[in-house]
Amino acid sequence: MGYVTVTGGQTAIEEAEKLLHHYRTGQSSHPLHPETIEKQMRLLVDRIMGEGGLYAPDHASLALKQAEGDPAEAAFLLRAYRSTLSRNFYTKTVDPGEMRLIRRISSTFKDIPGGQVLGPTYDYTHRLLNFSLREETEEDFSEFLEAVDIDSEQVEQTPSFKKVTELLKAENLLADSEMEQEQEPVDITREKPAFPLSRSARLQSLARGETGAMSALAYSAVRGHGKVHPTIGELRVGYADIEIEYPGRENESLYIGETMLTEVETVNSFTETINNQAGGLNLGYGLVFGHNELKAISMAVLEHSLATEGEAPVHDEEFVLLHIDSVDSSGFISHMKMPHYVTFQAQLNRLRKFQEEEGGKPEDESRKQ
Amino acid sequence: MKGDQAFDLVHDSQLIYREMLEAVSRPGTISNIKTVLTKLPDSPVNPGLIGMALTILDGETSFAVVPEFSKLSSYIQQKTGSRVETLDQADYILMHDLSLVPSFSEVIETIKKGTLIDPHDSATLLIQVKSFSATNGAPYILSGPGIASESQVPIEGLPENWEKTRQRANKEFPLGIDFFFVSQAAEILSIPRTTRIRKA
Amino acid sequence: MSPESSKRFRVSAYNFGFLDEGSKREIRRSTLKAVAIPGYQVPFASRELPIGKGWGTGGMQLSLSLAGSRDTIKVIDQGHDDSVNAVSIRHLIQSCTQVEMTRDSQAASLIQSRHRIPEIPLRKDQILILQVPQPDPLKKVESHEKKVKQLHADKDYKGMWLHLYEDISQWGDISISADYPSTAHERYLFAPSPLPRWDVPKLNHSEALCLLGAGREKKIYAIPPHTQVTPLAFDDVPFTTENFGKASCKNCGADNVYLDEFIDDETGQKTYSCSDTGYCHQRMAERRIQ
Repeated sequence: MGYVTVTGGQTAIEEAEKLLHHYRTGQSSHPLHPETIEKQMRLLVDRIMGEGGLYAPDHASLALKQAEGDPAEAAFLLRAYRSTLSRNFYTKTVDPGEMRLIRRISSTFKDIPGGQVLGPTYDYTHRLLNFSLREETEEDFSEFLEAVDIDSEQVEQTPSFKKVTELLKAENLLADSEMEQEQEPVDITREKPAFPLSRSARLQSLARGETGAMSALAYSAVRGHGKVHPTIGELRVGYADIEIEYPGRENESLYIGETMLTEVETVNSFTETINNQAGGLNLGYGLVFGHNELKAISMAVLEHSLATEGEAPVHDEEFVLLHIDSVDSSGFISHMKMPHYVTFQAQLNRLRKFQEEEGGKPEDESRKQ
Repeated sequence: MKGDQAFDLVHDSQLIYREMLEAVSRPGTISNIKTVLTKLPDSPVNPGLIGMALTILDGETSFAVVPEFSKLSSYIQQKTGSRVETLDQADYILMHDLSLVPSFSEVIETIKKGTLIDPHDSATLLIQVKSFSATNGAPYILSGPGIASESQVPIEGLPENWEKTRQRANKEFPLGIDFFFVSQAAEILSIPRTTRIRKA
Repeated sequence: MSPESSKRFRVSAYNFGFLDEGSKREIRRSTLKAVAIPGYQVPFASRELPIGKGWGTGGMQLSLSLAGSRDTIKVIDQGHDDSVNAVSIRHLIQSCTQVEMTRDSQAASLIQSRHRIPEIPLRKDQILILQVPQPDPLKKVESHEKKVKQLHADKDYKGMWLHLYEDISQWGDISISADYPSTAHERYLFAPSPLPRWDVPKLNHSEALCLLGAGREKKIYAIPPHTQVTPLAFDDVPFTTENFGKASCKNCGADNVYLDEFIDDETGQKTYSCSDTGYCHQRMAERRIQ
């Protein structure tokens, strides 16, 4: 191991880290257990897994604990950890149509085969601060669980329903889309795809995007800075089985676990044509890790916007896809905190030269190349 | 060779990569990766060629073996996960025995040269030659980026007029192909597309 | 070490050089291509690292894919070995590779730098790694990558020439201070990191290989040794470097080096010191010996 003397910089970093540690403890007597975060900060954990591009609830919870709950830091921790993992297998294609659903709604039809399933949603809760949660106890938890008796077996067996878009397809109301023909998806974490991106690359970029950035852009699109205003054909939240090809045995699958996913299909007006094709309703698609409806809807809006021509920012794929990544944007914005005095000195040097020339002072003999 | 250390994918790859980088940065400079010679006892061809392949190939790349040699292809596939591709699509072209290649110029004409938008999407050749010996090799004079003025290298085992075939393939810079040669003694030498070559 | 940092990074939990081998291979393949096509920006997947994007991830990925047990590495930021960012990067590289680290530019086989090239000319057995925030000079005139790639393909640099021309009309000279647009091997226009103008000529026919990495923008490019690097300039408005007049370093007395400017706390006077702190320390040590 090489020897490098400890310097002012090194000491400063170490002291800063101690302080950070101090603030992270909050001088509290109860260290936060990652499992508590995983179980009770479910939506935040899901968001971090999506933005971190890694489905690992325990790691996401740990990241949140370590980052004092900062979503950008936590997603960043997951991404950096992801960089160290070798790619051993590619999973088989997941069909979200086969998901075991916990929630499923459609805005296009009053009733749908299988029915609307409200599931766990804040949509119709009144946003009143519940002060009784301050005194919530373990007993409250167990009493509640006993009283409502949500049989976990029952949840497991929730059937999967045919998708709403299948109904539209059967009635020939959907526009033909070339997009569906795409074959092997690219992997944007293994190669940098060139613009214009293939649909799979677009969807991957969106799936890793930052929830807030995506909802801001999607909001701009439906508010008039864009040409779309879709209806939610279907929003589904559920569990999808993940399988890989059995190593060494083709045509055999090995079940490796399940992931919770949120899938949204938006139906766009037949006048909002993709690349000027006419003749039916166009879909927008969103699929994200965990339970994150805001992001999945935003993704579907943006996905369709990107496939539609227009002058607004949401129709420009470089603009949208290169600016929604939380690790990229938070990194570059915060890099402005680093010293830039060498380049600033160079700028001062230029400015002074220009000022001198303006003032008619004799030009210094500058070094020519 | 039993008892010898096995090829270390982390540290041997690092050493080979650095020699390859040195070679392509200074065309005509001979570097060596001799440490691999004893580390790949099951190698179907000279371990030098395999050492380079293990260093840069994996499931994200494709390769072609010329002339066809299924033992080598399946060895590379198995060890690296790289995919076999047709000659006109492969990222890396492994040539293990030039004496068995009926038409070198046909191979060079067929392989990818990149496009003006993506000049990096071109084939890289990993070629086994006999030696870089001044006594037996044909001397070539190189110039271009990486070379102060001119450098001279002897290469033994290349087909007649190969440099003219190469020149045709590289006439439209930035399109072109890059060569890595490896001798039987596991020395390596690179000639990227920017190098100008003439016979001494 | 603080109790926190000693718990933070367990070397055994990570691969040598932090990145997995697949990631290193991709960076290595891209680097070899970059050297073969001087100044051309080779796209690469770019991994997230434990440091922020924009904080040197491009340079770090190059360093981590290059480093081996035979290396000695120097890390500088703004010419400075001991600025917090340089310290942080050095610490990370050392933690996950255990290679020898140095402050002496002449003892280093790899030098990772942000914004500067050391004053002592580099040798052929050294590799310079520059961190790059914005790898494409054409972004000044066209914001879309797709169009920029087409401009490079056509060697269509009219937009940049026009930009420089307009700059001269307005200011009488080119206002670009750092990151001066230059061509490599008379073909590709490239961004010389944001080096001050002072350092750009050092890239021309350098003895050392220079690799440039832009992690967030996912590009690797290279200036091989002995390669022509030409800053864009007009016959009547030639390229000039920074001029510090008669100023010299208050510590070692060096002139003819790139200087940092300070305002003295007590006197309010302007003073200067070497931007390259390693060079400055070396000169001061030599003086003491004499």
